[in-house]
Parts: sequence; C-alpha cells; structure tokens
Amino acid sequence: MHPLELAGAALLLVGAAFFIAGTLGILRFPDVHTRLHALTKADNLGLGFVVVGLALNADSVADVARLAMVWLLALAASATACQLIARTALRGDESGGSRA
Amino acid sequence: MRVAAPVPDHLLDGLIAVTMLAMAWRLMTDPNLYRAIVLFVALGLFLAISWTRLAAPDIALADAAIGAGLTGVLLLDAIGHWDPSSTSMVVRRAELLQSVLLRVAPPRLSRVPAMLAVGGLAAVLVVSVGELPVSEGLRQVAHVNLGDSGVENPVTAVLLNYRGYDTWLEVVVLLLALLCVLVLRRSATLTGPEMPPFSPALSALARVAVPVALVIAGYVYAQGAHSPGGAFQAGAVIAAALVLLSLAGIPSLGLLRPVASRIAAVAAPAAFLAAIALTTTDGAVLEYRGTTAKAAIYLLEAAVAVGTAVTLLALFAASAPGRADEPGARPS
Repeated sequence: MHPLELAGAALLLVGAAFFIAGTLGILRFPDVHTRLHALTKADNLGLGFVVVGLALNADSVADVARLAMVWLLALAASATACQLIARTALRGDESGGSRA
Repeated sequence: MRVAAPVPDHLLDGLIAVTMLAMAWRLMTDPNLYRAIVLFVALGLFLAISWTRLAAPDIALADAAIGAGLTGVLLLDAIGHWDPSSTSMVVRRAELLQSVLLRVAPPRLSRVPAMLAVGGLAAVLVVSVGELPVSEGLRQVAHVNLGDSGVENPVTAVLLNYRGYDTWLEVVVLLLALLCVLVLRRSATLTGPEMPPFSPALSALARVAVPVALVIAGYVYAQGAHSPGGAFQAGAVIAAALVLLSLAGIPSLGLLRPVASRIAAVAAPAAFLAAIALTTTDGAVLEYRGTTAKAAIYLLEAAVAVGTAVTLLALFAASAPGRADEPGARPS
C-alpha cells in the first residue's frame, strides 16, 4: 500500500481508539460531569485524528480545508453543548432532582 | 478519496442495519423520554449514513438536517411542555382499551392479534416486492433530457423541473403544517416571543456559527445545480442558524416587521403559483427548457430555501416552552 494510505489508515485507527475510549468513559464514569469530560475531550481528539487521516488522502486542498472546517465546527459545537449540559446539571442538582 | 476500503461492503451495511434496528427497538421501549429522543436523533444520523451508502447524498443531507436535527429539537420542546401528572382523554382511552384487552385474555395472548396483523402485512409486502416487474423506470429518459432541463444534477432536475408540480404540493403541505401548529399553539407571531439571552457560551457560539452557516447555506444552494445540495438542504441550514440565534436569545427575524416573515413563509407556494401562471400553455403546466429552465429553477430554489427556513423556524418558535423560569428549576 502507498505509505500515505498506510499513514491515513493508522490515524483513522487511532481516532477510532479514542472514540472507543470516550464511549467507555460515558458508560463507566459515575456522574454527569465526568461523563461529559470523557465525551467531549476524547471524541474531539478522535475526530481530529480521523480528519487528519482523511486529509492525508484527500483529492485537493479544498477538501482538506473542508475537513478542517468540519473539525473546528464540531469542536465549537461540542464545547458549547458540554458547557450548557454541565451548567444545567449543576443547577438541577442544586434545586433538588432533575426531571425524568 | 482513493483509500482502499478493507471492510467488505456487506459487513458495513449489515452492521449499520442491525444498529439501526437495535436503536429503533431501544427508543420505543425506553420509559425515559429524554433518552428516547436522544436515541431518535442518533437514529436519524444513522439514517443519513444509510442514505449515503445507497448513493443518495441529497436525501442524506436533508434527512440529517431536518429529520434528525430539527425534529429532535421539536420533540425536546414537546416533552418540555408535557406535564406527566395530568392525564388527557387520549391517554385514558388507551388505558381503558388496554385494560379491556387484558381482562379478556391473559397478557401474553393479548399481543397475538397485533402480531398476526403485522406479520400478515409484512408477508404481503415481501411477496409484492418480489413480484414487481423488472424495469429501468424513467432513469434513462431523465438522463437523456438532462441537457435541456437547465441543471446537471438529476435530483434537482427531477425536483424542480420534471416533477416541479409535486414540489409545489410539498411546499403547500409544509405551509399547511405551519398553519395547523400556529392555530393549535395560538401563536400571535411567526417568530415567537422575544427571549432573554440564555448563556454567554451559546451567544459566543451563535456569533461564530451563524455567519459560517449562512455561507454554507449559500454554497449548498448554489451547488444544487450540479452536486448534491439544493433548496431544501440550504433552507434547513438557514433554519438551524435561525434556531441557534433564537436559543441564544439574539433577535433575528423578530427585528423585521411581522409582514416580512409572513411573506417569507408563503414565498415558496407563491413562487410556484407564479411559475405555473407564467409557464402554462395548453397541455403543459410548469414546462420550461434550456436557459428559461435554469433561471426558473434558481428562482424557485431561492424561494423554497427562504420559505423552508422561515417555516421551520416558525415551527420551532411556536413549540418552544416559555423560558420565564430558570433551567433546572422547572416543576416536574
């Protein structure tokens, strides 16, 4: 296989490993805040690796730019969602129980 | 992308199919409604993946944006309204029927009529699909006339030229749905009440994401002529941007006069009516070719994009529960 394809495949596998680690974190961590931590940090890094792996085999510079934009937008969205969920969970704990 | 795929296609598709079925089962049997809705959104994304596997990226885009994204938001708003302590007439009737069935037959047996009906219908469908005549359909005709249709993307040609009449009816259905929601919620305006800013993080995200979303929407709209994309997808992206602004408490359409949003909501059906009026000859409705077709398609697509965006925003604005109380302190 072409070395670029090999490197791309390896990076995709590393990204997948990060996603699996993040999912394990969601399943095993005890409360909302630690689970959010696993979800956002591991998944964003995993997505970054996947994006780099795909970018190595992209057809054009425009494709690489689009992949990078996907990663940046996902980063922004998940960071904001994480903050909002953590804030709501904190308020929910303080006011005594969240709704089902 | 020229990466060799090590996983055979059937394995990947089989995994996707099994995951979707498991997810659908899980979300139907989950007593926690919030979790069920999250699973529904995830299922919508898997649907988008399967559309891509079926080589239908236009539908994948629309399904991910509207089917998974916006519908998920509307469902979350719905359970925000729902007060579990009150029992409505519908719920009471369903419980009565269930209790009658349980009295007549033991619990396991009461499912048999439903299983027979579903099994029978499934059998009929499988047999009918097996007996369908083998035919190319109209694919050949569609491709042959693509040069005349004004665009290079066959999906756009079908949606806005060959079957423009059906698209007109679709946008009218969308408008009817909006009217029903407005009537049921007794909304005074299309854009909903003005909300206070919810969180600085959300405002920051809105300030970054909305301009990007609008550029992406314009790109998707322009690409629809020769790549996957088009009016509905662009409208969905604009709607997402407007919903984000609304969630962040930043007034967007509310700054315009109410008549402007109303005009935007009826823009798509009105544009189609104008097109019908201008292009009807004896024997042909909505027939246009060549350069006229190109112009007509671009204009109709613009109307559909704007109309879809405003309609989806209005659907969201009509169903959002009032945020008078702080999050987390809502009575349950």
